[in-house]
Amino acid sequence: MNQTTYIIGAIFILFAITMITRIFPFIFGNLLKNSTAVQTLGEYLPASIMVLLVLYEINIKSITTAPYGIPACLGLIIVTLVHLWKRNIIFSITAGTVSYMLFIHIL
Amino acid sequence: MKQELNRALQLSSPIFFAYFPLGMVFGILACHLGMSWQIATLMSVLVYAGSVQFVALSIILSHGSYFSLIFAALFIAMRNCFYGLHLLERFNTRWPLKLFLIFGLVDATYALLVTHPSTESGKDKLFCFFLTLFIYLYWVLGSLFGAIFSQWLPQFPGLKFVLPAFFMVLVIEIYLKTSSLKRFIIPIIAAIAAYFISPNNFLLIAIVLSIGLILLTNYRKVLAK
Repeated sequence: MNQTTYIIGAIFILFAITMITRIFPFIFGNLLKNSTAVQTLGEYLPASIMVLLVLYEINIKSITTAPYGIPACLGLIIVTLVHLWKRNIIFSITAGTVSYMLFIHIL
Repeated sequence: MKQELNRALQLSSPIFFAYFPLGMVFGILACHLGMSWQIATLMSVLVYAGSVQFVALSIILSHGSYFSLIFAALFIAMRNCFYGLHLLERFNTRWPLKLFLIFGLVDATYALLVTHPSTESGKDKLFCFFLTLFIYLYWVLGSLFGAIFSQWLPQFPGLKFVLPAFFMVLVIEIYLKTSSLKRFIIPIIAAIAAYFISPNNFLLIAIVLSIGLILLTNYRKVLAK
């Protein structure tokens, strides 16, 4: 499969998936509202997914080779501190990313 | 109509400063990773899901299979299933409009709609429409802007860090809302296990393990009638 076909295929798959997940409650709403398993997952799963995405995006494999994920950890600590201080999403992301860029340059 | 338009514009303006730059970063990253500006913009127009798009970039770049793409996207987008539940009555309107409102139900739209209940009946659908449209445009225009200008921007090593930073902010927000650390222990255990089982399918295995652990640790609640 050539690269462009692969990417366009991927875009249409993703379009279908976001549409399905968004329309789902409007079709099966009453069923979902009464399922305790769905309610429990609705309460706890978002936190899990977000943590896993952080780990996935810093590339967990990088921890075993130099610089052992130290720039990423420092970057995340900065994001956390800045966000707890200002609670401004764009400001926190910018501060974290700029310091990460500095860290990978220095370390 | 003008009143609804103004209200939607005013309420959504802070979102502009989040979605436009983030869309821009998406456009820049997508193009630096080898997509054309048309494809990058098309992705924002059709998919319209920030976290899904960013994760998809990583998967597409590593030539992941459609299966791993579907699986990752499904679970990241799944939180939307819970958003819709709160808007069943409010989105009860003609299908073309209803479909657009459902398509545009992203984190920011959901947060604004839930915190700003309908004022007078009849005109509320119009307000929902404008709000959804504006937020959608911020994202699409940001992506377009970033994709077009990426050619003239140098490749910054480390720009990719916006993604973990973005998800980290969401983690902190969830923590601030729930103030319980308990729910963050499960994904960490799942992550460590998934790493040892198969680092190449890390995300997929870790999500499945998390679901299992959540249901297992809350089995009393799940089984209670």
